[in-house]
Amino acid sequence: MTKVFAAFLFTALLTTQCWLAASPIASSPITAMVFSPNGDEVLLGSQNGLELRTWPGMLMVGTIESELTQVHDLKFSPDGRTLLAAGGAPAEEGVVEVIEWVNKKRVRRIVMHEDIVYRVAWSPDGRRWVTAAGDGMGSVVDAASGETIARYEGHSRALLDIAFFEDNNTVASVGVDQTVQLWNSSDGTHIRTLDNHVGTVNAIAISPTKPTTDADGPVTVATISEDRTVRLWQPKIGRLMRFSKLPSVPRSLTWSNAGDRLYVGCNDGRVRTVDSSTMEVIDTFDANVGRIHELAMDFEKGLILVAGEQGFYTHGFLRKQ
Amino acid sequence: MKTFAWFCLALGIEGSVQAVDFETEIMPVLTKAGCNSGACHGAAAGRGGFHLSLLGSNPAADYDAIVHELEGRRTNQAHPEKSLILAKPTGYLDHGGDVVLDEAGPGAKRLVDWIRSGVSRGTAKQLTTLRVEPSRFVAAAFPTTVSLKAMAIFDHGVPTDVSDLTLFSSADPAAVEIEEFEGNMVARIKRPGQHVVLARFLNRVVPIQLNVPLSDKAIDLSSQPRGNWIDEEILQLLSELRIPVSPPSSSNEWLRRVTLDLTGRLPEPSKVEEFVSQDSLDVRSGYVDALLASEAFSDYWTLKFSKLLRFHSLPNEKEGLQAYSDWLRGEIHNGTGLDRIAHQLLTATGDSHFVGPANFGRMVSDARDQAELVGQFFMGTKLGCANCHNHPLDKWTQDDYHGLAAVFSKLERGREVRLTSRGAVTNLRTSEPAVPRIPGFQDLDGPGDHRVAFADWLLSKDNRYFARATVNRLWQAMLGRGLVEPTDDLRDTNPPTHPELLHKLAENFVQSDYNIRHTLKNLAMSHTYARSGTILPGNASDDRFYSHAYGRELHSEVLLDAIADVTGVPSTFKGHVFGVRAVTILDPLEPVTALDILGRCTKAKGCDDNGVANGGLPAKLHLLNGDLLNRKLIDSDGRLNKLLEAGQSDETIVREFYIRAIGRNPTESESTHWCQQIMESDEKKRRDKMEDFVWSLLNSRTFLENH
Repeated sequence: MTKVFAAFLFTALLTTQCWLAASPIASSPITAMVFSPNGDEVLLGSQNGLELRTWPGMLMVGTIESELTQVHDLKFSPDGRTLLAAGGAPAEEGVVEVIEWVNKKRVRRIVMHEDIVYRVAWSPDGRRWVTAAGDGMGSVVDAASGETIARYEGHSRALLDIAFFEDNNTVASVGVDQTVQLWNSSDGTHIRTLDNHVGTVNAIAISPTKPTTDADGPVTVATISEDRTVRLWQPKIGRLMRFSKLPSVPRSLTWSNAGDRLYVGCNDGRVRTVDSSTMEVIDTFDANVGRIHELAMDFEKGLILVAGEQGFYTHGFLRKQ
Repeated sequence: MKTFAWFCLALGIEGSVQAVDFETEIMPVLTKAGCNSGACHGAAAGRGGFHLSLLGSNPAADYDAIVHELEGRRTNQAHPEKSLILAKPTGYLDHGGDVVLDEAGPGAKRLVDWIRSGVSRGTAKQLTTLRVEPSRFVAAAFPTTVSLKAMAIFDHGVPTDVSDLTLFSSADPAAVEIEEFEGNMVARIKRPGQHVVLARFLNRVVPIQLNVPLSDKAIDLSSQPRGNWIDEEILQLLSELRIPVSPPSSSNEWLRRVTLDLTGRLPEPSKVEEFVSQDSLDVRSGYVDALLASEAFSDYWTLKFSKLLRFHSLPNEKEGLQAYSDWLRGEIHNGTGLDRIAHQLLTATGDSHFVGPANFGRMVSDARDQAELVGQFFMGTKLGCANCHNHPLDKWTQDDYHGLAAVFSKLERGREVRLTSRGAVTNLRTSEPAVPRIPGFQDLDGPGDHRVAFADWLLSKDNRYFARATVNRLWQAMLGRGLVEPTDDLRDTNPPTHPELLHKLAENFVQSDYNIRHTLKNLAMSHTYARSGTILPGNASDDRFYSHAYGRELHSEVLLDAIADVTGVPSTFKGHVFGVRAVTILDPLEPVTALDILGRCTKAKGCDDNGVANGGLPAKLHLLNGDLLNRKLIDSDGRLNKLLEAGQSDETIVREFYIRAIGRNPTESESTHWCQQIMESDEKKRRDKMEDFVWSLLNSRTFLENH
């Protein structure tokens, strides 16, 4: 009996599901999520604004002031001092709010697109950040001045995700036009288009494993699409490495610390773990949050936080990363 | 207790938002506003990055697009009134489709309520019946207005007034305008005639027939003779529309018409004399029976069905078509019910050089083509649109199309036609192998020959697809215009001119065990069929109510045979014995220059329309100037030459050609006219003038048409 109770407590500790009944963002899907730089808190975003909770307890701490009609992304600068909150009003404006994290005050509100900003990404050196917007544009912003220093117009439809390469210059963006496009963040010039996907490309993530042979060597990138595939690329040399097809449309994506696993949140509310060397699905768990919009990994605590249309879900993974 | 009261109050406030069902209450708002029309977001590729299924045919996908797509950008659950799905159609934001939704109207309110209540999919109610009032309206005068109402009955059984959610659309907006008046939907009729308003709610379309008299003066058709129930139906509509009927055709006209319609031949001169002298209902009945029992009938109707079934030879392989032709002609000649013929066509396997119906699946290139042919021939419907998207005007979905194709996907189409365990069709909607399916009905699970299941369903007791398609084609063949046109496009949105008549014909056909002779005789013996083509002042514009007979061009094969019969010079066809008739050549790929010029059906599409495959202007020019006629006119073995050499008088020759070509003797004035024109003492000149006379006769509309 004692063993059963202990097992129950363990499960309850590692796996927590919250329906957010008392939360101000209860009525809207969670569309943005990020751990605070010190890892003690988690910030959630939705059509109802920004909300801060403890981590991993998920207790309500408070809200953060925002004028965003819809919040679609939250990203901390590499030094953890600045938070970007991206979103806007659909078909009206794409906005990025720059928030000083130490006092949680907004220092800038930059209206920079004619449609929602779906994603932002910092350059690894923290000097620039880029946007992926619904108006089909990508913008490069100087982090210090807030000035737009370049724009990319190579996509024919909305951009849905964007990533900065380690070289602090190359950017990869994906979107509704079913392509992955590499471009230069200094001047917005096109480098390469990868067009193997046959559906909207929902997300892109760069492998945390750095090339060992050459600083300019082939970086591995993962993309997921409405065509239900997860694809691995070496985009700088235009190579599609391998792919696998999932039983449900993948919507959110993150790498394991070691770069040997991909965690993919899907439309069916399940998170699938994909072995990046074989592209086989090696584990699946049901998060029960409807469509999964966000995944966040806490490798120290061995927890994965899943957020989606019906709230969030915390899941423990046994394998130490 | 206070806490409980506050709780109740809070619930009450929240409760003011009615739960709204997406499928039955939101989708109709979008359909009515035109959001999911083909010109807007219902286009195959959507519009402005937003794709909805055409006319709401796929509610699950539409819910997904509105609620989930792009992280839910289109619905704002925190501030429902700011939702993109409202801001665009109400004009708050720039919208390519202009303002289509009144922001203060019931549609917008319903959308806000739905978003506020949590954008739930709801518990989908099943629509069982859609009733419209009126379903048929006969106006006393015009212009006039009619109030339109729609009542939906869902599976829970309570009738619901859905007039405000129903899309009423006029087939001809210049004749009927739909407008909203004091909260009611109203049809404003601006022209006389028969008009159709379509009421669309969810996946149902119900036609509303609006009949407005063409004249101010009432007409009395009660004394018009009625041969059978066909006449009752025709006269009722003519009476409502106040269209006078033309007098009956003469005995000669009727004889030529019925002989051409049933056998594709002109009446024999000896029969003309005999028939005209004895004409009565009994004589007509006996004559029709004789025609229906003739070899000529079997030849002609084999040709007609072969066109619908897309007969053609395969490369280096004539045996299959020969077996197919022999089988079909045999079945038609023996009076086999069309249901049994259909079942054999759908399910046959075996050596196609010996098993005729096994060739049915060889006339198409693959399972999808076969699905389209099956839809066209057996169901009178065009399924092709549903290959790429749900049918815009009909109920057929992509699942229906690919599911029907999957029924035939395991068929091996070599000389030996057989079912295999292999073969699949990809459903373009899911990119997965299609599940075999009876369109619009059910999936076919499990092993076995799904073709048999489909055939059994098609020919089951309550299924009228095949019967309706067939009787409509028979009607078109006899009356010149189908009750539904085109005859391979039967659908709710293309209603028949005489719905009840089509229903009765189909029922009667089924009761006769799918006997085409039975239906053809019913048609031939009606007074409607016997009406003359004489135009009266009040019925000149009638082209679909059968107040008078409609002239129809002779089909190419019939025309070629008729020219041969009149001139007495048989056509020669390479590879066939001398004297063979054009109507027996069933292979459209067989090189026959004369038929190529006059117009033939293509093997790919068949001929299932009233326009048949007439060759148009080239054919006309060829008849006027080409070899086809001229060579036969000067043929030494031809009828004209023989008559001249026999020393027949001008009057006799004129009479002979009149009765052979147009089935009657010349009138006195005609005879006099031609004799004056031809009269010539010089034999050579007389011959030339005679040739000109016959040439004129064979180029006249009276000869080139069945009237």
